[in-house]
Amino acid sequence: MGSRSKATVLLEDPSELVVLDNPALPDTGRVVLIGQANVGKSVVFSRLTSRYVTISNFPGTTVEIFHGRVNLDGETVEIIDTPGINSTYASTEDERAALRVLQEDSPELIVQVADAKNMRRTLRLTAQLAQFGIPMVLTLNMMDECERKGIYVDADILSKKLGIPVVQTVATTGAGLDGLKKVLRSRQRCSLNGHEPFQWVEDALASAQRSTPGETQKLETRTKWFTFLALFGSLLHLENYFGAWLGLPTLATSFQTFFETQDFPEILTESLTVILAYLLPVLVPVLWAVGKDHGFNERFGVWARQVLPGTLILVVTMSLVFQLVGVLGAQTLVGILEEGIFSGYVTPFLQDILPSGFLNDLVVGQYGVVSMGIAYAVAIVLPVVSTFFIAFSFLEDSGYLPRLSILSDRLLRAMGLHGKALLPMVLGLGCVTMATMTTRILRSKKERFVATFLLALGVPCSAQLGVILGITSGISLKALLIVFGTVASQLVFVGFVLSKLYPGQRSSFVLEVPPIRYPDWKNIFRKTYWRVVWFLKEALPLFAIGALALFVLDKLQLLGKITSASEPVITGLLGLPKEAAAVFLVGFLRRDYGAAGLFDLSRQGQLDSIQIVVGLVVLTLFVPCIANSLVIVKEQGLWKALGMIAFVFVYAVCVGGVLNWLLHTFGIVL
Amino acid sequence: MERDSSTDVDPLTKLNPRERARIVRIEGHEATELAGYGLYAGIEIQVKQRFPSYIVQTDEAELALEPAVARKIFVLRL
Repeated sequence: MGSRSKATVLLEDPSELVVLDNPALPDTGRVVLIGQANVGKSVVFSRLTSRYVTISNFPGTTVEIFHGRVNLDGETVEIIDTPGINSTYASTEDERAALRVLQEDSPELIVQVADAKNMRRTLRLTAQLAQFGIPMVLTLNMMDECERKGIYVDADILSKKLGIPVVQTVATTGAGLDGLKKVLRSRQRCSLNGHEPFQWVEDALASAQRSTPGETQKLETRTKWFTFLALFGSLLHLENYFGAWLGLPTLATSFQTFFETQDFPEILTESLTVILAYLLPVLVPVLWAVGKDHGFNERFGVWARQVLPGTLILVVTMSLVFQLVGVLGAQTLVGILEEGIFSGYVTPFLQDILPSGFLNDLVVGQYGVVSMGIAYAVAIVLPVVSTFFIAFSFLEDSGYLPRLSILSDRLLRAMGLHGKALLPMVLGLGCVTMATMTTRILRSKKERFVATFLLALGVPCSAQLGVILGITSGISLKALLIVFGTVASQLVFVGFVLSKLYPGQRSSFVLEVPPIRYPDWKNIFRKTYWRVVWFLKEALPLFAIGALALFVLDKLQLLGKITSASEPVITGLLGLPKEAAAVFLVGFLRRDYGAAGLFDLSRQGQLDSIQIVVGLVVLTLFVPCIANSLVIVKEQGLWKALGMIAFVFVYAVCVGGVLNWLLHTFGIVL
Repeated sequence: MERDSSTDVDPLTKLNPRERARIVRIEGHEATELAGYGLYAGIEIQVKQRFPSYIVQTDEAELALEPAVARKIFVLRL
């Protein structure tokens, strides 16, 4: 029952992205937000609770459960945000986590958040959710897009037919949110619960009860729900569900026997058709009176997912990101902060006021906590990370990234992944640690393993990327292409080999493509702000500790010994100056720390072009930082994690050695 | 319901861009997942693009599918 314990762990995870307030149980009820991916659950959650969670225009952004509170006339109600689900049959770990909230947290109310443009799909999920027997509210979100498309939904009639409150919202602007708050204490059950079409569920259950009374009893009140989970899934999944997940194998067999005597798929389709036939008349004008607007956004959305215009758009996008991160961030802002503020004022000032000797060395010496630790973090890495986060948040909110998934699907499939793995990969360019957690949206173990591995191996985090862009823009485009070409080819190669070696199947690529939307600048800056805060909290202590460690090693005369011990590799194999040993040492702490060190060395003119290129490649492929290693252990287990890290370490050095040899042997001028 | 013997029923991969069709059945274990996305028997769809992935529109949702999945969706042209 590995999957079971894993899902439980998921729920108990403290969040790395947002600081949780103590999710102790409030007295007055618990409300869970449930709905398809990318319908705006997290926006509704943020609006209701004033707590920030990451919001984007990419299905599957929320991979964890978030708790928050809303104050309703002096009473607090707990609100729970969940990852998107497509049906009550869960197939990914994040979906499973969402359903476990319904099963184990016994919420008083389900708020189904839905995309008002897709009522058919919405109601299908409504019908499934209704079977839990938990009171419900239906929130039709994105009413603005709905109106623009000329779609009209009669919430009053729908509310009467469903027997639950139906509210209409535009969560991004906050419209309709007051209406939602008013119904949060409603306790009406959806009339689709136990509606006539579901008689066959009772039949199936009665049959199971006769053959396996023991196991059936374990289902007790959740009976109907479990039955539904399986039935809305398919016959193929029964065993997996009842057997593997719930640990009730005989019940699985019993259900299987029942359905072998029935025309199962026909029953399933029929009952759903009946539900929809019952509800859709309300929505007929909704579904077919579609007056479309073919605005620029829509046309752009089409171009971005086609091969030729899509590639062109990708090139333009990448050069804009380069301008922002590589030029503005890594050159202009780093120049101002590093040369202007730190080297110009902070360090000299501290050097003056601190008595020379131990304390001076500790704070502003060669490995000073401020002159190295804080300066690297704040003056070199921070500007790069912030500009990258702005660019990334913009892309994320525009809806461009799913189109990139489509373009890269074929390449990723050769690596045992598929288009959906693009999100973790691109997110990895922001922070590999964050991205490793996002691998949960991938369906099979194999994909999660390969994606985690590749992230650990070669996806540079934003600071590294910025440093790569910053340094190589000082050499030549050729240098940049060699660094990226080497790293990218290693990713593809290792991915290809892994996909052949690692047992198991990849899942199929099915991705909803959200519309292109004008990003909301407020959300972009808010998101960037939170990511930067998160970065500082995560990185500053480690940068300081790294400097401190080097300082202590230096004082104990150990640094010299380590440097000379690693000389055969660093100077011999990689052709780097021996000072680079310190760079790789701090690179163990954080990859961006190492990158910042390399940046510093090259600005001091200690590296020639080939050394820079080799150094960058090795650092990029080098071991994952501590934070990422911990997440890998958590997601993949200790042994797999250790194996990955050991492999990556050796592999990075080998690739660097070969590259160094090639560049010298062929006398390549950069 | 239409079966294989009927010549009108084709896998989705046979459709040209812009062509509309109605889903007759979906084979394989992806059927569950696709149903969650709004693709199941009886639903009307339009193919928007065939390469690099298939893009299929139902109601107001656009779905990207890899060819291996698209081949398992059998449709009746409208």
